[in-house]
Amino acid sequence: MRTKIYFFLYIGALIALSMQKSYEPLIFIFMALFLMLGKSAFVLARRALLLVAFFSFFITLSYSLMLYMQSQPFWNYFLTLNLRSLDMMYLTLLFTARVNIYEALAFSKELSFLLVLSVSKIMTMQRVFADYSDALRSRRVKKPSRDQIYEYLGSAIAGFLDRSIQESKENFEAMKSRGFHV
Amino acid sequence: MFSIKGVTLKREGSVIFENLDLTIKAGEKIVLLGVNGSGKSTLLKLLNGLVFAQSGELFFEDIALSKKTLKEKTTNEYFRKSVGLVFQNIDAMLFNPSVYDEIAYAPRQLGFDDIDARVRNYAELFGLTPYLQSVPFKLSGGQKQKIALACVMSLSPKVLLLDEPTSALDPASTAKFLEMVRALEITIITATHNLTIAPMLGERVIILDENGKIIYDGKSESAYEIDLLKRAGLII
Ligand SMILES: Nc1ncnc2c1ncn2[C@@H]1O[C@H](COP(=O)(O)OP(=O)(O)OP(=O)(O)O)[C@@H](O)[C@H]1O
Ligand SMILES: [Mg+2]
Repeated sequence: MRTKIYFFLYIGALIALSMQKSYEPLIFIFMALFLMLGKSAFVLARRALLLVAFFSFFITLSYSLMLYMQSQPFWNYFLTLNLRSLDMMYLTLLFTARVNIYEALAFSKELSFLLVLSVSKIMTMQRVFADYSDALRSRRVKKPSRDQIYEYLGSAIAGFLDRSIQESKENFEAMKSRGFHV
Repeated sequence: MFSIKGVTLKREGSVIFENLDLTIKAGEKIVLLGVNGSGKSTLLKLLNGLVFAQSGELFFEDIALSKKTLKEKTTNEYFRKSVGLVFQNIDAMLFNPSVYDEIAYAPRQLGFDDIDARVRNYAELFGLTPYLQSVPFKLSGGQKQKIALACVMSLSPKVLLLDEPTSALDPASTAKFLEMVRALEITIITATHNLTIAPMLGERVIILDENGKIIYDGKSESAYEIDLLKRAGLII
């Protein structure tokens, strides 16, 4: 029962976070989460930061650059978007670290299925991210130039998007193949 | 079991198969060879009712496979119980919280009543019993492949479609797998790049060239001729 309550709190918090339109509260939320985490706070913060950096930082950066060049305000947009993803990621890591998600979801097959799918996505992404940084490290003989890093990150992000879209499609095929019928 | 007549299939604009004809009889063990991108995986997905042709006919027994016929619940259930596919991309198949649930997924979806017995039986067969409570996608590549095999076998299907099923298995596990394929008296179509094990996977060999055209369809004995394999681009 407790886990279910946690789960609904988590979902509620995610929805609330996703609706935040300014960055100030997001900073407070981040600090609050940080305090709640206790010992593991730093490790999880680092992980959340890396994941967010990888997925949204570079994309929002280019949008912000565009806004800047059209001399429109961009700070608010940039901070809000990134802090929001950071908070959501942090919360998710907090939730999965503390709550046995599969137990929490035992009440509905369909829901548990969908959530497991997204959790496994997050886990896979963490693993893929580790693979990418290993690949980068193993390939570099000399210290890479800044251009090389940007080029690599650019293609890595594009590859990531393609990959997750393709994977979701194939996930769905695999479900259908094994009798999932809508 | 399957009959393909004049099938033309395009994916994202490019032609994968043009006017493909193929008949597969019950109980046949078929090896599917071809270079990367020749269309092996696509053919298996076609036979599994996951991708569909733009033109031509495809029958499984007397069911014309199409999006429409597979929407129909009883047809879908019958077809899914009869034909199982092990994906080349194993990760796509693993989305359940535990190995137990993973193997039980299809039997549950399709309303089997001896689910627990099936799960334990096939887990044991693939040496997965110690991992029943583990999270599937955290296991090793070979273990994942065994889970995928157990998942599909747990349906006791009439047709097994296997896409590179041994790519991650160690030699002992591969040998056991070959033994199993030989002992099963069902239709099995295996796509593989492994020319060493290919002759043990079936007596009928189908070779696709890089354009998805069948350039050989016949007995295993004459399939592994140097010239033919060269023409298929499989050796240099
Ligand atoms: N999801 C997809 N969308 C569009 N085109 C695809 C898709 N999957 C494969 N293709 C294309 O279909 C063709 C055949 O691919 P397929 O995966 O069937 O080849 P394969 O023989 O299985 O190759 P491999 O030996 O590398 O597994 C390729 O040209 C590929 O680019
Ligand atoms: Mg393939």
